[in-house]
Amino acid sequence: MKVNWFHLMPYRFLPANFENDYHSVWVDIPTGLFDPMRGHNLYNEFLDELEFADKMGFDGICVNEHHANAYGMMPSPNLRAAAIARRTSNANLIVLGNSIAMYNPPLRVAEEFAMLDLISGGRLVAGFPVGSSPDDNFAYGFVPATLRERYYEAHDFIKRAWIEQEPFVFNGRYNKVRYTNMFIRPLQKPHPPIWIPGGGSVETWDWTLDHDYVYCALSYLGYEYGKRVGSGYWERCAAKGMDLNPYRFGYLQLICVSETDAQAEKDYAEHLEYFYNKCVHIAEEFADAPGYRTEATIRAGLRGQGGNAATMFRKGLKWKDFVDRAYVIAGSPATVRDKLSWVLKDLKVGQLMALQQIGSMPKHLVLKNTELFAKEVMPSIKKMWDEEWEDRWSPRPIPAQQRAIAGRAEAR
Amino acid sequence: MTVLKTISLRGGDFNVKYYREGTGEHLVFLHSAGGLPAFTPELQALSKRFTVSAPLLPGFGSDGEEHLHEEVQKLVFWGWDLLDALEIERPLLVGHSFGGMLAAEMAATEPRRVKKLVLMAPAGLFFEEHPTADPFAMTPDALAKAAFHDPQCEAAKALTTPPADPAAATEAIVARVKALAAAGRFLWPNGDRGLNERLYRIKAPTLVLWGQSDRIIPPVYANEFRRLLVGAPSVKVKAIAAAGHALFAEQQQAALDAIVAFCTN
Repeated sequence: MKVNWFHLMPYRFLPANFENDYHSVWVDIPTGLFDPMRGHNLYNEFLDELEFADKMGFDGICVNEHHANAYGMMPSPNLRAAAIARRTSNANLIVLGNSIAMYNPPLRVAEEFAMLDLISGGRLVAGFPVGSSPDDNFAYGFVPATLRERYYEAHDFIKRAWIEQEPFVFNGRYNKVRYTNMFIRPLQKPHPPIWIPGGGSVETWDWTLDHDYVYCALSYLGYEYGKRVGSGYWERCAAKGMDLNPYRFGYLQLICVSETDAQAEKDYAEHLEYFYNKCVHIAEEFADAPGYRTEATIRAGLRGQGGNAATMFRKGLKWKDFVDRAYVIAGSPATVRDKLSWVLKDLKVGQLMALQQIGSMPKHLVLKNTELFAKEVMPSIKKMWDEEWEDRWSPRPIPAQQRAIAGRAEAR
Repeated sequence: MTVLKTISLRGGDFNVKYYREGTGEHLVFLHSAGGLPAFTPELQALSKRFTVSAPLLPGFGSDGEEHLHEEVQKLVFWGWDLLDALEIERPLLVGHSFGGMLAAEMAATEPRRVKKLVLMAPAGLFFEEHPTADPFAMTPDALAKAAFHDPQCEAAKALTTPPADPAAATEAIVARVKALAAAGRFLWPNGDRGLNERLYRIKAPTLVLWGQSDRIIPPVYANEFRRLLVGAPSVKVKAIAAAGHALFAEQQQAALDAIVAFCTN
């Protein structure tokens, strides 16, 4: 089992009445709610937390990309990953990812990912999401119906740029470059591992499997959503006659550990409620632009996790509901160990992404949560799958003794 | 009852469904992003005076929208290829909203092949000083209500009432999403694909019709079209009272009278 630490980087200071007085946390949230001084401290606090996870022995630390979004303050995950690369030495840098459909030419992503792989000594996971509707269609203005086509083209372009040994002409529909020439090569060969964060599109499952990438179900609805997405994914995997290796599947889980079950509620309830009531208060109109989901996915009845209907459903839920529905796995180390092992086995997860900073959770609780998990829970799940399966999808960094050390680096 | 016919274009890349009814001069009607669920009473009325051809646009019951990508030029070629295949040389060209944008684009591309042009609350322009509404960021209910002067009128109610049969309701949802997705290829994110720079090429006498209560594309855009249609021998702007963006459905008679008078004059 690979255990990774994921940070959504939410703005922790939304007004108490946010979900009632404001339309949406994403796309049209008033910028007046953002205080740059708090932003300064938050960004540095988040970096501290990510670096702490490295020290605690997590296999990887994960960052992602959002725009015009108060629950995800990272328009550029690569900037975060660059900062982390210098300040950590063990954890993999899992960038989940860059919305490659939107970058013209996507060569920029190929270059930045190569830089991150070089700086970190080969610790990069390159994540390529199709991108979400609020980000790509509403906040960045891309046509929904052609987003997937742009995505596939960008993927092909980046991969060729990483692999080809000579300059080449790329003549795509949306990108045309006469002199594609990646002088900067990634350290990992033939290229960093590619993981695909997805929201449950039928065609993304097939595409990910056909390319032999990792599929990551990133949701804040825990087991409920994970089961739906995971079942669909594994069915496709079986239908294609491919091995059901759990390391093909990444899964995000909200996790809150404290000394006892009761103490967990005392510590974390308020911050979870902030998360479910404010952070994912996403207006229905922005959840799914027409054309973003394909006809097949609409017919399969797979909907996004955002939108008023979903918000209404969650509205007024309390700690007990979040725990009972397994949106969050919370409690004493023993409770978390039991529930988490069960979920990971049931969903066949090989790449866990633990979300341990949640909503308004302040730093001291984040560190407590992370440390308790690392010391009391992680050891019990680390061995899962290892006798039976090999992880073919994680980074292959250069040996530790060959790696440059920040402050003492010198090329020869 | 007028039935859908099918004609194939470009070696089968496009199979276009269309209605054809009536006698007299050729009138081609291009529907809005709401689609064309039937040969409507409005079109039936027009077919008493004209040979009405009304295609379903790609993604609205006709296929092949993926071949258009997001390029207006490809949609315009689709339109002229269709009229060539239907042997319509120089029609009266009428378009509503999204279809109005297409009609204007077609007339700008082949200015000598449009006898007269009727633009009913056409899309295609966007000026920051008077922003249009964003139909793509509206729930179906909100959109249906915003499209009418009177959100309680029968036509509005029909739009907001899903079919009782669950299978039919699912099909209606899929059809709606597909239609908006197809329109989004050319209207996303604000409908401006540079038509303002091409309108000068239009040479047909033009009627610009607008619902006075249009809350999707405000009536001020009628003046913008008039301002930009510098090559048209005449531009007549007519406001329809007590009508929203869905002016044809809401004020059928007033709109019909204006169109027939303009086309037969």
